[in-house]
Amino acid sequence: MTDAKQFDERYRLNPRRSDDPGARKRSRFVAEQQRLLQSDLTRRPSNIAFFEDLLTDPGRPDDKPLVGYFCNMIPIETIIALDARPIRLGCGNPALVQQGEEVLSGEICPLAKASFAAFLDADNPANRCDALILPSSCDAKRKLGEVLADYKPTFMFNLPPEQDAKRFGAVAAAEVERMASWLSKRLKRRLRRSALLEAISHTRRRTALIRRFQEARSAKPAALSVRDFFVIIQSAAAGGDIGAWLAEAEKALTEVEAYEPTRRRFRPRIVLTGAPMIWPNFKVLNLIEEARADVVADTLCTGAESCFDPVVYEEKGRKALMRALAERYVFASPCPCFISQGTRIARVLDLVQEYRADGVINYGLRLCQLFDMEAYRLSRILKENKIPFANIRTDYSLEDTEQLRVRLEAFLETVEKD
Amino acid sequence: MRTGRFLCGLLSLFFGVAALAAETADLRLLPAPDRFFEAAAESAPNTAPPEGEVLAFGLFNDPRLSVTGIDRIAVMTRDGTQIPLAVEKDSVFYEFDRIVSLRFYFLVDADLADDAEAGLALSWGEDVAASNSEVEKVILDPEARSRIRAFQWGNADLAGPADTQIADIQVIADSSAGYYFLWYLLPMAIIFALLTIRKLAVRRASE
Amino acid sequence: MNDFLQPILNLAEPLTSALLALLVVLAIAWLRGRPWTARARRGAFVLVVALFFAVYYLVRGTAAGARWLAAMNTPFAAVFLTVVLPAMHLPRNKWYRLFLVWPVLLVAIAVVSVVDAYRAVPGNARGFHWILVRPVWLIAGVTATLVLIQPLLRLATFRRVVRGTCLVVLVYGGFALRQSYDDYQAMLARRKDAVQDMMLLSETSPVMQHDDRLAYLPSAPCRFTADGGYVQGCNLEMIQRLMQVNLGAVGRRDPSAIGALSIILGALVVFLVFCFATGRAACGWLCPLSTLGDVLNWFRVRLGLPHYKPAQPVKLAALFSGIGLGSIALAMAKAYPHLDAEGKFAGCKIPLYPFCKICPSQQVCPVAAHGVSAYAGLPTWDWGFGFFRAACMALLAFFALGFIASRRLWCRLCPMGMIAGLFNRGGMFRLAKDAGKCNQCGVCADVCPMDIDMVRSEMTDENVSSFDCVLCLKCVEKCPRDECLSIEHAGAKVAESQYQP
Repeated sequence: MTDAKQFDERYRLNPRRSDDPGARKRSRFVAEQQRLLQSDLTRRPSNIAFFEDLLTDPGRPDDKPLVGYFCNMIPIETIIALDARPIRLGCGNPALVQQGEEVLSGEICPLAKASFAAFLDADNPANRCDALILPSSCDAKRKLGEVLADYKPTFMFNLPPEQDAKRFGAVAAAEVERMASWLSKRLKRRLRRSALLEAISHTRRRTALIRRFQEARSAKPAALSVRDFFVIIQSAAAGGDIGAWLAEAEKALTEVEAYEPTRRRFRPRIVLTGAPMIWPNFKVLNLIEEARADVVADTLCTGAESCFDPVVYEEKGRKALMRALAERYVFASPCPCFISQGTRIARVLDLVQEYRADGVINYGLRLCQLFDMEAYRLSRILKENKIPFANIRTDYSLEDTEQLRVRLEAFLETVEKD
Repeated sequence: MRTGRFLCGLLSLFFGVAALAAETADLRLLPAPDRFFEAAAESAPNTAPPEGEVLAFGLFNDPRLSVTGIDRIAVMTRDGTQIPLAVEKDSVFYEFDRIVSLRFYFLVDADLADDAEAGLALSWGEDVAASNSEVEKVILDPEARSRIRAFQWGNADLAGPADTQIADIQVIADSSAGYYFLWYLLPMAIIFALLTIRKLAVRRASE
Repeated sequence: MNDFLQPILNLAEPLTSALLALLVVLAIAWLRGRPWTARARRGAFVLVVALFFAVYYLVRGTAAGARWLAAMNTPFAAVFLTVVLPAMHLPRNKWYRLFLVWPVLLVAIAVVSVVDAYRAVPGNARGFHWILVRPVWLIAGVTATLVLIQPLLRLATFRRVVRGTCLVVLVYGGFALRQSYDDYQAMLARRKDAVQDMMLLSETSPVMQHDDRLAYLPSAPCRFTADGGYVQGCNLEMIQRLMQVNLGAVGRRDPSAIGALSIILGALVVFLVFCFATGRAACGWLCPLSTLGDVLNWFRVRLGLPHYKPAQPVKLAALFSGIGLGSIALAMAKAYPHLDAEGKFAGCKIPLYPFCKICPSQQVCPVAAHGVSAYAGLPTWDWGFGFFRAACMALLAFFALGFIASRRLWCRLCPMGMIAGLFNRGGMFRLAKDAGKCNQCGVCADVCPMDIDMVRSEMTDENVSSFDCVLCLKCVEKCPRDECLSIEHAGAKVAESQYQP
């Protein structure tokens, strides 16, 4: 149970590095463009720059080890409790997709290609990590583990195929324990229960803040753009100090809650669901807001849903806490990598009803089979419930921006506003 | 409308019971059984009828008996004279503040005692006014056995085994008030019926 | 003070009737479904209650009717009707604040009752005699206090307070909460004649023993606590008494037998009414045996050890063992009237309360109330061919291990909770789930002390009540999704899940 020899030691490769300065320049350009676009927004929290800086480059404020992770299903409390900084490594930069394609196949998910390409650049924050943790969520992530194992020590966190807490609860909790032991050995620290409880209290505070943001935004969408909201959310996982993030987010929330709209808002209210939208890949969000619609709620693992559920525990024993972490991170997740999409469908329907949405936009990444196949059932069920639905399938590249704009505007015109 | 009629029927049932405010039972006197004198074997006898009179003793626990005090029971002769009773104090058995069982004796003239047509009757109820007395434990004197009788009313079992010298036995019909405890089954049945109906409704709703 | 209140109490007597409690909860549930205006509903409710009062007075006018009704009267019904039901059903607006005057008044009367009892103590005996208070005011005062402090506490804290209070009253009430100075002295005097052999111990003298009524509560308020405890006992004590009634004597219309049977049947009706009105909530909120067991469980939690989750066969084995042992003991109780001079039936030595002699409560409760010196000892091998000793040891071990290693495994076996368990699905309490809000995290199944999985896994049926559920509401408390799980009483939401930041 101690050292998980998950990858075959015999076939290690030398980590490939890139010497293409153009890629770095292009990726920086994309990020700056998105930042510029968002700077034009009418109402932004005064400390939004803090969050944007975190996303661009969190820096290395102290010598705490950095542990990179993917997805929303890794219990980061274990990382925080081991006195390390968790940094979410999913990459949203279209410039890196091309780089990744040159090494890996072109027929895989752009998120995987871009995230891999980040490791090709020695200066990229991804390369500062001391360890990596990937869940076996989708095929791309599952195989990315071995690829990245050549670069950094990697642990594959195995997810059960079914979200059945009775059947797989003990297995998932054991997997969390396995991950914690591996990490603790790797970082040469002991995981103390008190540190774990403190980390859980931090993430619970984050959940509380995001829920309040969500409530304020859905009541007054003009108070905070969904793009800024996503920046605030995603910067929490950018590898900075969570205490500082909590303090700044609290300040931003006060401003958002204090805003009083002066007139009624007639824009269509949209629930967004689907694949991750990682900064700076806010192409679709730009289009939605430029088409004068509001995203009032989302089920994205990179949006409000990522922080929505708190870790709930009653007993404070180690096994009980591992179980609590598994329950929140593995079994409550709306990710399509599980055999049933019931959780996600229920969430979409509940959000539409609770936030009085006028329509649902499903966002799928090209070459992602999971979201693509889920779109079929989601569209049928939403049609049965008479909820207007638009399915968008695109990838990171900005070439199809205008075609998407036309489609979105057409959809938003058909959406009924009561 | 239907519930109204049902309610009236229910009420009349209780009213019928309430109407039996004063009850009577014919008494007859039988020779005293042996057990009357068992107490005399251990302690000195303290009760015996005076000359020319007969003492009638016994336990009265008719199921209909439910009076608030010992002065609500009277023994009457045919012409309506009341015979005072001497109630054995420790034998009075209360249920919800009402007397349901007690032992007493009374004295009658010897010729009245042997007269089968004497027409002695026991009467009890809230509108009966008697002047009875309480006595300590009754220990009958075996010497006076010939002048001591057991009184009996209605059901032969309760009064104890006795020689049957009397020709006619008047059996008084039992009133259903004695079985009032069976009425507890009514709310129980209602509760279980409600539970079953609601469980079936839950099952139907979940299908 | 009692003389002053007597005519009021006489007039208000229907409030103490369990039948009114049954009628009121049914009326509330039925009226909730009617599409009438609020005023029409209120009017109908008042009419129903007034009708009951009228019929009650009429029936009380007859001798048999008065006897019949009296056995089904209990102060618990009055307190349930006037304090608990409004607290659960009244919306928390200004009318609720007005209602709170009534619990405050009850607490005041309870305090005055204690003061009164102390004033009646003879001059030469002044001193501390614990709390002397009439049961009706104690029950009213305690329940009123709990209702008054409920809005100030979180659900978990409130549950702990309620369970602790019930433990104190039911277990320690036998010596600390007697009715009057004379009652207290009588209790002290009884201690001198205490029966040494636990197998021969038959009568205890609980506080609520007067009035020719027996007071029973669902779940396990044991009669073998110090000096008899507060109420007569658990429902199995009642059923054992029922088995012991000599039906032959009843057939011969022996008044004492009829009297005994009437009292027990009346108590049974009251018990069933409370089962219907509250389901197995008494197990989760009132049972002192489970509170004592949870003290054992606390050690495991403090040490951070995981709990043993029983597999389905173990759960079924516990259930059937409980039913089996309970049935055997009740059958033995049925044999009691036919014991011979040596106390044997067909050669088998049987005590008066067979189930009590194998129940861990008789082992645990006296010790909890009076310390280790009060331990009564295990039955000897000669009783019931060794059945009593073996079963007592087995159940005591199961009780202790069940609470130490698992959470409430004992409650799966406990026969005292099973009758109430029947009323969980179909009774007035309903655990409801809005599956559209569920994220399937499984926290509800994780925190459940009865290890029930149905609340987590049921996604189509809204009603997730089950036989085993003790209505502790831990699932409702811990669920992270707003309004996903809720507990309803007679159709009204009493509590629902809410995210706690």
